[in-house]
Amino acid sequence: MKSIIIDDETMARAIIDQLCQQTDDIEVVAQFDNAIEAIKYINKNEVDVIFLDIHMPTFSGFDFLDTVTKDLQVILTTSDPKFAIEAFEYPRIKDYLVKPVTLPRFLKMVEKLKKQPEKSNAPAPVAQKDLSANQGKELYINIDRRLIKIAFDQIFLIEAKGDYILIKTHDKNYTVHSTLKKIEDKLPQSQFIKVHRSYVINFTKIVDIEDNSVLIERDVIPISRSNRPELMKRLNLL
Amino acid sequence: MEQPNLDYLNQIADGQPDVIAQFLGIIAQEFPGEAERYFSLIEEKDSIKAAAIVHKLKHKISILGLVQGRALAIAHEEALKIEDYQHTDAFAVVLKQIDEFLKSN
Repeated sequence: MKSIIIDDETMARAIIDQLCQQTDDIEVVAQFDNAIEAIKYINKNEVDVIFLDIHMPTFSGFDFLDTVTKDLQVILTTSDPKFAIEAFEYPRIKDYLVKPVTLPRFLKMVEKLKKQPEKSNAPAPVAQKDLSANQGKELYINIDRRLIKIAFDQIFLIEAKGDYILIKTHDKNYTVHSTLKKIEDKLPQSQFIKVHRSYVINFTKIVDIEDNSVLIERDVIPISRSNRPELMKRLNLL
Repeated sequence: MEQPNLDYLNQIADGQPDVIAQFLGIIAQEFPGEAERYFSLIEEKDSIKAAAIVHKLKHKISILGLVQGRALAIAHEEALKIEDYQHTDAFAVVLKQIDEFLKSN
């Protein structure tokens, strides 16, 4: 099996590479310290297995999974066992290795991969949303024990940042301890749409859309393949 | 008190000294800069960025066989995310241990 390693840490890549050398079943054909370069490689080369780190700056392992829909088997590598449940949401993830990866655990994963049936990877259907929900005009966020009112019209995008979200408005940006899912449930779905695992945008603030990105005010936001159909459906195309 | 060791690297490298040396070389190259960056961020009270560095250091700590050190790193990383610095002194001791170990190997 041809594999690539995506991890921003040199040490982590070296360890997986060394472990692969101890089996005849997996050959490492390339290594990347960021997911963007890996996507370019995958688009041009044949790869069977990807060793994917979750925690990477700017473009995480989950961002990668949301962006790439190619027929691949993914092995997540991470120091955080807490992501295991989320990993089950992705059928392409075949195993979950917690760092530091031991040789017996690695060999067990290889056996598991060998038993996998032929790859299958249809993108998940986009759920129909209730567009009538949350028709208020504002929401309140808690910052330093103050409840600050933000009008929906003022928000142009929300970005997930680890355990926090960044709410960008015309006047100011707010960092709040919350999740994208929580704020998404509070926003009017007729006005806001999730375009990527890490981004919810105000649909009415779109400047233009080009390929797999959307320009909101001055921010260029990636559009994941799974979210693109819903976005395109909402556009009033001429 | 637990001490850094090469047990894990020996297992991964199948006992090959040149492979172990290669791994140690990577740690020796990256660790000082990461530790220095971590201490600066702690001094600047930038707990979120410091937590991200602790996350990276955590892997190196486990590679060097520090089980309790890893547990401390996990607790420290989570605490820093909510601006809690309670594990800072204990974590500094772990980093010092690694620094001394790398200098002697």
